[in-house]
Amino acid sequence: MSQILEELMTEPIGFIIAMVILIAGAVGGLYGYWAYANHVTLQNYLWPIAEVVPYKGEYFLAVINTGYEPFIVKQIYLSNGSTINVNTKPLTHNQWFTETTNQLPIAVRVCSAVEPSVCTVAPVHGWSMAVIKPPQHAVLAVVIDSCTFNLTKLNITKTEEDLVLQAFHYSTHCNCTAIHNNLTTCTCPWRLVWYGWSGGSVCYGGNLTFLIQPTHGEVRFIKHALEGPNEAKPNTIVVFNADCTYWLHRLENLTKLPQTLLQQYALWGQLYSGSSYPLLECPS
Amino acid sequence: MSPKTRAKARNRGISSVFTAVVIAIAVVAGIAAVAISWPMIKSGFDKNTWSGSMSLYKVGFTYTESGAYAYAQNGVSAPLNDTPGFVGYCLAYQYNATTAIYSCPSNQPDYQR
Repeated sequence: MSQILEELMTEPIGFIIAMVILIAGAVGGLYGYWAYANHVTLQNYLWPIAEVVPYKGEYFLAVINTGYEPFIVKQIYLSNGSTINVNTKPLTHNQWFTETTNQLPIAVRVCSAVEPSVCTVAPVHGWSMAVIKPPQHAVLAVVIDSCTFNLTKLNITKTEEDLVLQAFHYSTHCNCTAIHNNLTTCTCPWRLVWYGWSGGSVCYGGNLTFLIQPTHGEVRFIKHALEGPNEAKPNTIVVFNADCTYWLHRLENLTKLPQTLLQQYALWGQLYSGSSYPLLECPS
Repeated sequence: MSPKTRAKARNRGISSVFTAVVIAIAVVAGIAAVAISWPMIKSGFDKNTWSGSMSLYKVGFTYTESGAYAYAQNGVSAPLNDTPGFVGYCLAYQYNATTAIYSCPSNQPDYQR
């Protein structure tokens, strides 16, 4: 036995066998490493992003392919330990897949569309809530729609822009809601309206009681026509009470204001109906 | 030269060739390994870069004349609806008049909540 081994080690045939084994080993090792490297490379280029938000008592899950390597969403892992098999069609760059689940999804398993044995698991990102900030210089105003006032001393027809009676300076990071109540009929239509953003408007048809309730930040009032507090702080409610007689009286006085101030009101209306350029400066 | 001496000389020759071939194979295998590794190494760097950019991916919200708007990065923006929709790589919808619910790549994963 040892003689045969000696023969193999020392004779040319032994050399050839050793070379074959060596080359086969090197080639086999390189091939295995190449296959592994390919696997890892492909896996590294699977770039799924999974997001979830609660929606109508369920969870709205979305998976997007942020990379350029197409993949298939195979499974969704839920918080109760169960899984959902989905097996989507291949998602290419920036394509989404959505699914609604009744349990919180915590991860998704995606596999390459090119090589289905290459898979990766992506965590599902949780949700947050954010305040939708209004523009810095938005204005909440009480306006009278175009109407004719028949008073003994006054018979005018004014447009909305002329009749911005009161504006509430809406400072940075301020967020408030306006609620109306106790409405009665009146010949003079009023509206509480935002300029500068689509915060909505509240329509009034009569005597007016409206509440300003800041939910975030501080609302400062620009006092001209309206008597009331200077500001409303978070978690407080400021109530303005007014009736048509009062407002018409104020309107009458308003017409006696210098023309420049009327123009100023008109300018507010125009500016905050259209341009977002701030005419008013924020309180420091 | 005796047959024994001749065999010894031949063995020395074979050993030298063997060593040379082994070294050659080792060099070739080393070069091949580097060539094979490079795409893998590069993909690792690319993945790290991507993860870094995703961990900073956020969304903001504001009101405009035409309604609530969500704006993500790289100039991506979209109107905010009351049903979940995509703004860049974020999922968002308007929950009520002043609140949006969103999920972005920069948010923590669910299992860490």
